[in-house]
Amino acid sequence: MVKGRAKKSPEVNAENAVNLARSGNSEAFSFLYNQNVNRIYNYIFYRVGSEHDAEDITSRVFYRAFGHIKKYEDKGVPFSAWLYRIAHNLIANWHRDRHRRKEVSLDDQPEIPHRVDLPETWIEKKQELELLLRGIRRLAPERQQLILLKFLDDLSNAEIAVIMGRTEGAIKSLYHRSLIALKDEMLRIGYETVETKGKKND
Amino acid sequence: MTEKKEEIGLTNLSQLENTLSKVLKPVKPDTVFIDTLKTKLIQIPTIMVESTKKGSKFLLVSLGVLVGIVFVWLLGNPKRKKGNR
Repeated sequence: MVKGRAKKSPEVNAENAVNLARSGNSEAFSFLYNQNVNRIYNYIFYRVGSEHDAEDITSRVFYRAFGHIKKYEDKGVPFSAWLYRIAHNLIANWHRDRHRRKEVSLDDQPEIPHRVDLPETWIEKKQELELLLRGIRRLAPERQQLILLKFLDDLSNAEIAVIMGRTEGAIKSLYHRSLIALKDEMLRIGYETVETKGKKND
Repeated sequence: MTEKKEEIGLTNLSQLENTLSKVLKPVKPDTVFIDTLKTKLIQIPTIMVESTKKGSKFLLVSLGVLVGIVFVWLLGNPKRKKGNR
């Protein structure tokens, strides 16, 4: 009788997934992918505003990450931080290419996420979302990144600091400045705050 | 006056924060795209087993060279025989 010598692969969990993926374990790849794909896609989608481009860049992020995973050094930083950095760089390249080709600005035609689980007042909110997206995309890339990580991923300042390679204090300050900049952009493009609405009514 | 302005600024920012958290909702990516990409990514390790392909290519090339040498040797042999005669 031949005894089976096949090694039983270890159970993949959040702690060992990266190391197992580095050794070529496909289950670990799956695990990391499942854990991160939606959040990376969302981040990219809100930065580029097009479903097609978001899919393209998301694919590139994961191909690049898994292709270079052997070079990945675990410094105690979450794996997602590495993915976000790759995404951030690819988005920067994407914007650079668009500017070179002089395509229509995203500020003019923001694509509204059609799969968003919006409340019933979707139609009322649509215009608000359009203006918000327009305002966000007019901000500097790092400010956009911070706002999206904060509100889409619901991350704390400490977590964002790890992803962006800054201190928690720096993130706190950048966050405040980003909100002020966003408010100014929103007012510039015609967004009415409760305060300005009140003044008009008076 | 400045205090009042700051107060207004802060309330505005908190309003903006509220709006952001209400309006910025995660999108659901296309499941076909997600599944297809996953399949492609997981297939990478099997695709990356190119070392065997390279090995077989090397074996084929060396076999070809060997056959060539034998062929040349065989062609050269009758001439030598003739020369010897």
